Amino acid sequence: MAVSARASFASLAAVLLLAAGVTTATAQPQSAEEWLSWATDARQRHSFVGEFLYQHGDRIDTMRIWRSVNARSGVRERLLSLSGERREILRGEATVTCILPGSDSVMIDERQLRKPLAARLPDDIKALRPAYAVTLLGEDRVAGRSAMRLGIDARDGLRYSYELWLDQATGLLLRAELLSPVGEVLERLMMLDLELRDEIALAELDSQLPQEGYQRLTTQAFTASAKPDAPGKWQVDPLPEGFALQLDRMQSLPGRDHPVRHMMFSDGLATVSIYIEPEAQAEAIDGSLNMGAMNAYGKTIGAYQALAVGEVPRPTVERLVRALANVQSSHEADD
Amino acid sequence: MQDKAGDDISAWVDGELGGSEARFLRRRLDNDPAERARLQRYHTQSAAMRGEYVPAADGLADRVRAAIDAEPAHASGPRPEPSDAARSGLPAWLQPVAGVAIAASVALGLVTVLPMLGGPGNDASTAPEMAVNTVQTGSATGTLETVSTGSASGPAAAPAVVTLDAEARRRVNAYFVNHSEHAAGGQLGATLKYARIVGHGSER
Repeated sequence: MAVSARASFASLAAVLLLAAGVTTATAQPQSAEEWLSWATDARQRHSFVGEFLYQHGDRIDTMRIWRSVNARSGVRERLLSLSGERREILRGEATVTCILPGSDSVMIDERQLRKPLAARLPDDIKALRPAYAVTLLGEDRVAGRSAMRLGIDARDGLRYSYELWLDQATGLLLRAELLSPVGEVLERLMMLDLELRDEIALAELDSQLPQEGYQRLTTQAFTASAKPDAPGKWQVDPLPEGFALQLDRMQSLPGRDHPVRHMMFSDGLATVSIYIEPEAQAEAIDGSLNMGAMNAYGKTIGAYQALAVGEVPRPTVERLVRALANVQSSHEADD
Repeated sequence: MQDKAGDDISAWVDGELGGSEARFLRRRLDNDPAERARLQRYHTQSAAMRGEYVPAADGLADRVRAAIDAEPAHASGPRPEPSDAARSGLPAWLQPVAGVAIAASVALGLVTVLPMLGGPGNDASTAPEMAVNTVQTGSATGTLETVSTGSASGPAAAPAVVTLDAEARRRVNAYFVNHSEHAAGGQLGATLKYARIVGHGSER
């Protein structure tokens, strides 16, 4: 039932966004804010197949992406590595499937179709202003297509800056660079070839990789009456400037047999999640982790393991965790 | 049979060269173009042995190479960008100059060497007011790693870097994937977030 409702929502959203696209496509964006808003809508309007590179430091991976926007099946996506070991991520109607040989696993998580951030658009554009300056940097070319280059400059060292190259014909993102607080390019995503499609066959969106021998990690359904494993009221005080709480709930995680508390904070562009679970469930993570420009910081707080993860500099996730406290250990306060 | 410099370069590519030897090799490479050319050949061979050069992606590799070669043109816009060498803190001749296969090999080869070659440096992602311990490999190579840190006000001693085993990776990946999905509805969408997970999904 939940899946069906989610699919219906996705279909309705796709229809509405497609309809919106008819009007926005005729109006050429003028300001940086309009370009950003147009790009956000473009992701919900166009089906395409593309090849792109992902660069982090001195490492480059090449990948192929299939993205299908369909009034019936919603937005589906498939990402396949073309270099190195074969890796794949599939975003279906209700699930996200990650086939990653590095962890010998197939991880299946739930799609988040009713995203709190998406629900805030287009006000997000205005919400960026305290933390970022958005400017047009001129025209360029990427993958043989004319592009408009945008700069999103962080106003402090708590977050990253970005440069985006948006397709002038469709608004789709052709290139993105994520910059450190001192201006170094930490990550680069650049489209090498883009083919717009009216429709993508479902078979092209299916996995082609063998999954034998991999551990299969899925989420479990928890009832509303399930005893929370991270009870009470958790609070980050003080919050890093510009960030606000967007989500605080109990949820499942792939491979866990217990619900996990998930708090999510955003400054309008960057997001940081804090996951809280009983420490006894697994070996504690104490210190920093990173995956590309995504940083994480784990710390034991009483009987709990708290871990913050987000596309922000390492000190920002550490600051969030160090400011986290269980301020009211009562079940009445829990959701 | 290889000479001592050849052995050292090979060990460097494989990330097996000690600190003082690596520093000596770096000085030698700085001053010897022939040795630098040999380093590039070793990287290419190493990449081929790892099977990183995918025949089916030959055309794509050419386009990647062309895209990288075209980088200065992209960097000539109104916003000044740091040089490639400045981005990574490495000498310019260590940048990925010959395409995807070599670039991937350079990254893999330097995973364990960078701290020795680069010495203590500032993490590019570290805000100045938060002087936590950092590790150069984290920002330069993308290895999924855990770093034992001191307090924010503590001394900047070199932290220990621990590679995660498959079980730990599965646990941590659940956080990264779930967060990426929740954040996918924001301004930048999901592509960069999932490209990052795919890009790091083969690290062991």
